[in-house]
Amino acid sequence: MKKAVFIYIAAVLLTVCLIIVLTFFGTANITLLETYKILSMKIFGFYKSEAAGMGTKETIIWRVRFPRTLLAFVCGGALSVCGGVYQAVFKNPMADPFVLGVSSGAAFGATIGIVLRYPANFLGMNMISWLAFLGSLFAILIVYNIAKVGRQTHLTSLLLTGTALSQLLTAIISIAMMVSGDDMKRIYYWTLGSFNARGWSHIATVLPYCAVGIAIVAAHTRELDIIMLGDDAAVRMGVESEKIKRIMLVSTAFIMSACVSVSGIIGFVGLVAPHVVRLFTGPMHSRLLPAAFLAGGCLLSICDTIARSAIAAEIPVGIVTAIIGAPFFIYLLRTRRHEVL
Amino acid sequence: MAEVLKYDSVSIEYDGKKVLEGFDLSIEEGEFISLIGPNGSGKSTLINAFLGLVPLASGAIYLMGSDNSMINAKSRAQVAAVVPQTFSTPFSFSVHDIVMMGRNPFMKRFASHTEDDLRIVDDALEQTGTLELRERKITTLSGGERQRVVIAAALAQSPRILILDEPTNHLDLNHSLQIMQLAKWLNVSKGITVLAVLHDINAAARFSDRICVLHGGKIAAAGKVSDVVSEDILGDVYDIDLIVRNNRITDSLEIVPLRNRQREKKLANKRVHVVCGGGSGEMFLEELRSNGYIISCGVLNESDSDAVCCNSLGIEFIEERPYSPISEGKKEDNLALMKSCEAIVLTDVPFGTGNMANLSSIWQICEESDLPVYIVAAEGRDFVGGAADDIIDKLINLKGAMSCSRQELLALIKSGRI
Repeated sequence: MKKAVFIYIAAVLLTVCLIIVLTFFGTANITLLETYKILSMKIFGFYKSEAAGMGTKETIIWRVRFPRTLLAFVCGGALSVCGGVYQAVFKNPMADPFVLGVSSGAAFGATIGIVLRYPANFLGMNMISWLAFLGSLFAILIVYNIAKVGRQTHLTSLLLTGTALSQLLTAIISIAMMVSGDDMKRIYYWTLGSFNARGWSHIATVLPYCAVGIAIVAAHTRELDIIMLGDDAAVRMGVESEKIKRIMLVSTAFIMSACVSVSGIIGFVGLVAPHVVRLFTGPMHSRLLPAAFLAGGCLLSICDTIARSAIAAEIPVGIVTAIIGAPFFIYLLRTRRHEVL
Repeated sequence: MAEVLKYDSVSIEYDGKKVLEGFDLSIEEGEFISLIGPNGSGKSTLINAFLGLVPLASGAIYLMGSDNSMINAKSRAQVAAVVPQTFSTPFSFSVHDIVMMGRNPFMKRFASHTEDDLRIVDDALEQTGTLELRERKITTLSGGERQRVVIAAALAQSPRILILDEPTNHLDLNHSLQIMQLAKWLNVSKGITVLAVLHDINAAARFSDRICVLHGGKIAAAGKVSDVVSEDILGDVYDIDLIVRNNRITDSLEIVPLRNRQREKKLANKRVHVVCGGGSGEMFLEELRSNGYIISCGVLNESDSDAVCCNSLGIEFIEERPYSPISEGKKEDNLALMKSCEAIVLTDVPFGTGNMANLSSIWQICEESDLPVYIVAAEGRDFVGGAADDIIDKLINLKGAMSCSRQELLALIKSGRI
C-alpha cells in the first residue's frame, strides 16, 4: 500500500515537470530556465526581482502556453477517465467516447449552438456547451440501448452502432456547415479539435464540470469494479447496476461536453490511456482511474505541444491524437483475443 | 427456528408462457435444501426471481420475513449470497480483489476496507482453499479454482443463506465433490442455510436435508430425501427407468439410471426363471426385465445382493433366511415357480452346500420336462467336491442346455431369443 502511494506521488511530480517542459516548447525564443522562473514567480511568488526583464516572455508563458498546456492536460485526463468508465459500463475494452459516438453527439449539439448563435449563458456554460451536453447524452443513450443485447453489450454491435451514429451526426454537421457559410470554418475546427487560442477563461469553464463529474465517478469506483464482472454478478453483490450505469453515463456526458465545448472533438485519448495504464495498475478502478487521469492528461498535453510546434502552422490536435491512436486501436482489435487486460 | 426464505405461491411467466406456477417453499434457518428437476423445469428461474432479475407474475418471496421485492440489492446481498453456474471475466482482477468485492454490501461510500473486512476475506479464502491463489489473476485460474473463488466471494458476504445455482455444472468429479463437501461443511459447521439447485440427484440425496423436485414449473414432490428419492417419483419426472438403492459407504440413497422410457417396445412376454446369487444375476435380471420378460428368481438368501436387486426391480423370488442353507420347503416353492416358466437361466453363481439345492432343482425339472436351460459358463464354481460340475456337464451333454458367456447370454436376451 505504501509503495503505491509513493508511486502516485512520484507520478504527480513527474507530471508537473512534464507540464513545465511542454510549456517551454514553442516558436518564441524562451529558455527552459526562464519558463521555470516565470511559472514559479506566478504561482509561488519566487524570483520577483527578475520580473522586470521578462514582460513579453511572461505574457507568452503565463497567458498563452501555460494555460493552454494545462487545459490540454485537464481535458486529456477527463477524457481518459470517461474512457475508463465507458470500458467498465460496457464491459468492453474497445469503448471510448470517440468510438461510442459521444464526441460526435457533443459536436452535433455544439454545431447547432454555433449555427443558432444563441448568446445565453447558464451556470457558466454558454449555449454551445449545453447543447453539446445534450448531444452527447443523447448519443450515449442511443448507443447504450441499441448495443445492449439481452444483459450484455456485444463488441460488434457496440462498434457498429457507435460508428453508424457518428457517421450520421457528422453528415448532419456537414450539412450545417454548408448552409451556414460564415460559421463553416468554426464548425470545421470544432470537429477536428484544437486548443488554439484557449486560455484561463476556458479552464475556468471546464474545471468545475470536470471536478464534479470526476468526483461522482470517484465515489463509485467499487461499483464500477463489480459492474465489470457482469450485471448478474453486480446484482448478486448488491449493486443496482442499471442505476449506477445511468449515473455514470450522465456524469461522463457532463464531463465530455465540458471538454468538447472548449476543445472540439478529440479522439482516442479515452481509449489509449486507460488501456496502457491498466497494464500497470490492474483493473481495479480506485487504482486505475487516478493513473488514467494522469496518463491521459500527459498524453493530450504532449499531443497538443506537437500540434502547435511541429510545423510552422498549427495542426488541429484531434489529428495528432488520431495519428497516434488509430494504429493503436487497430493493434488492439488484432490482439484482442490474446490480450490480458 | 426462523424462516430464512419463503416462496409463497410464486408464478413466473416468460412471454405469456408460465414457467413456474404456484411454487411454495419455506426454508428454515440451518437447513440444506436441494432443488432438482429436468432441464427447463424452472429451477434457475427461482433464483433469478429472488435476485429480482425476473418479475413475478403472482405470489411473493420473503427474505427473513420481509417482502423481497421491497428489499434493495445491497440489503439483500447482506443476507443472501448467490453462487452462479459459471463465472468469467476478461478483466484480470486478482483473486483477492474479487473476494473483497463480496464485502461491498457492507462498505460505506468512499470508505476503504477495514481490518474486519480483511479478516473475513482471509477466512473465506482459507475455507475455500484458495488462500494460496490470492495474488493470482482470475483469468489464469482453472474452472474448479474459479468456482471456489466465486464461493469465497459469496462467503465474504457473511451470508445467512447461501444459494448455489448448479455450482458443479462445469466441474469434474473431484472438484464437484469438493464444492459439495464445502457447502455441507458450511451448513453444518457454520450454520449457513443452503439452497442448492442441482442436476446430480445422488449429490442432492447425499448432502441435503430436504429435496424439492420441480417438473414443468410445478412441485412434483418435496420432503425428506427418503420420501422424494424413489423410483416412482423420479422415474415419472425424468421419464426414465431407474433403481434407488442405499449406498452403505456414504450412507445415503443413490439412484442408478437404467434407460429412457420407451413407450412402444415389443415385449417378449415370456416367463423366465433365473438361478443366481451374490450379485451374479443383477445384470441379467435388469436386461430381462427391460426386454419385457416376466421373471422369477430363487432361491436367494435375504440380503443377498441379487435379492436386493429383485426387490428394487419388483421381481418375484423365493427368499431363504440370511446365511442359511436352502430348506426343503423353499426348494419346493422354487420348483413350483420353475415349472410355470418357459426357460431357465443359470448365472455363473458358485455352488456350495448352502445353495446346491438350486442346482439339483434344475436337474429335477429337466428330467421331467424339456425346458430350455441357458448356463453361463464359469471356471471354479464348484465348492461341493465335483457334484455341481457333474450336474452342469450332464445338463449340457444330456439335456441340451446351452452354455454361453455372459456377453452371449445378454445378446440372446436383447434379441428376445430366449
